[in-house]
Amino acid sequence: MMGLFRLILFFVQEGFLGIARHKTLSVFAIFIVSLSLYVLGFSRYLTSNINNLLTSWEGQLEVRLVMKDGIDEEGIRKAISILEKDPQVESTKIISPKEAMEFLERLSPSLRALSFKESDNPLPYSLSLTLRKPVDVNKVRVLIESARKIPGVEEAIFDWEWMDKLKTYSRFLAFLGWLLFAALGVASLFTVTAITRILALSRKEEIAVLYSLGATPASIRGPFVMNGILIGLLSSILALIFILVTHLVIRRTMGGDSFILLLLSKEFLTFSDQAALVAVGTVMGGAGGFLSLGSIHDWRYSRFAG
Amino acid sequence: MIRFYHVTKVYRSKSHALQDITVTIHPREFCFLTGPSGAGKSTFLKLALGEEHPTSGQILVTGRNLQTISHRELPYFKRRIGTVFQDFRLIPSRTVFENVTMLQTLQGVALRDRRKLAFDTLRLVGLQNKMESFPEELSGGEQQRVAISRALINKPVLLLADEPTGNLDPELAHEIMRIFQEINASGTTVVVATHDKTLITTFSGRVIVLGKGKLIDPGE
Repeated sequence: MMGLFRLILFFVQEGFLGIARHKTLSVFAIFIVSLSLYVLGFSRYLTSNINNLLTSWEGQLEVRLVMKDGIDEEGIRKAISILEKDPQVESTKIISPKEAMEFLERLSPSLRALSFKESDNPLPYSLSLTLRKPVDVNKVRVLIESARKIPGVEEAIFDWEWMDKLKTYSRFLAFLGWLLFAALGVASLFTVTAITRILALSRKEEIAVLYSLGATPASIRGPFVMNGILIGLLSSILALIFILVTHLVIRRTMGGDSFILLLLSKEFLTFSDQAALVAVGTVMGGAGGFLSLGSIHDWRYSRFAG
Repeated sequence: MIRFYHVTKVYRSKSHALQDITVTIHPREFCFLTGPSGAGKSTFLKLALGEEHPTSGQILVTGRNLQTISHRELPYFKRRIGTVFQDFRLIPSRTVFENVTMLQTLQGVALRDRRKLAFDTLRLVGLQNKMESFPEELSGGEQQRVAISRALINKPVLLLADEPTGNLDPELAHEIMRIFQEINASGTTVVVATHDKTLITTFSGRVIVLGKGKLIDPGE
């Protein structure tokens, strides 16, 4: 166990040494990898903010049932008893014509000038249905169809289309983020592999000697894999810093001008998202480091020394 | 210790490096492998070390058939064999201590144990006080002695040396050969590939002669 710890420590030391020996190439690799991680991280940042927004709006969703004129309280209670049996309905609230008018007057004070008498109030009774979370739009559609058939119900209203659209946009954004990351990720992997290979070529004699002495392929590969891991780790930290800077810039400068931008930049990446980004960067770097050497047998001395 | 049975090695260039070689080197033998340039000496050693595969024939080294040895087993097989080369193959950026204990570092051996191991092995070649020196600070003879220490650190049963004195003046070459004889006296089989006739006549040992890839004289 201690031996393994010492070995890992040696790999880390060699990994840093590799970066120090090839500063320019390493900085280039870190920049390229951080760019692809930035794309992935930023798309995650946007989609998680959109999803958080949708979740909070979803909690406020309600179905409004407009009742027929002249319906009495008995008719309303019958409709409620039918609706409360539906598993999608969490609670119901009766909105009287008076309450509806007061609400309208709050929205539009000019209506007060008309000063409707209670008997002249043209607004009907309505029911507000709070939906059980998470809201399943398809089931709510069924609920609305069946609500329309309940005696005394004139119309059922549920503004879900805009939310459905937003959800589609969010999914598309996440897909686009992954797609861009996949393209840039291949480029990043290639960059780490190529740069670690250059590093390995500068140490080809050492690799050949280690091979002839009987070092295992895994132990020969170790410092180069660690080099890739360190490049990936530094890249992911850099990408997180870039995302944080973007987040702060949106919040402090652009956010004030645009309510949408302010909503979309409400929260920074969660700790688990940050950890996942670092893990993706590290694995990508490690994979590049691993691939850089190819077959260890091809690094034997006779391959390049005759 | 080493048994070549009808071994032929043809490189991609279609040149026959070795042709139908059958020879046995016994345990504890001190053996010279000689012949002019292109005779196949280095190929013989590469095959014995498992760095190259024969085109045909069978090779047995330390009881292992190299045709059947897996990639996974190869490193452990190599650890039982010490190798010394004409160009020393020391890593310039690493100290003598680091060069000698490269393998042990990759095995996770503790620093204190590595230092003791390096000290004991370097003492055999009289360089125990040069542990912190870099190769460029050493003479050619000293560099080769460091390379010998590196080859001996695993206490190998077989030592393969490819033109180990090729880059050294005669006096240093003799010193290196004396070290090889001491190693052989301690029980290690030593095979030295050289085209230096003076060494062969000065130091006693079996002489296997190769020429144009063929076995001219098995020296038995």
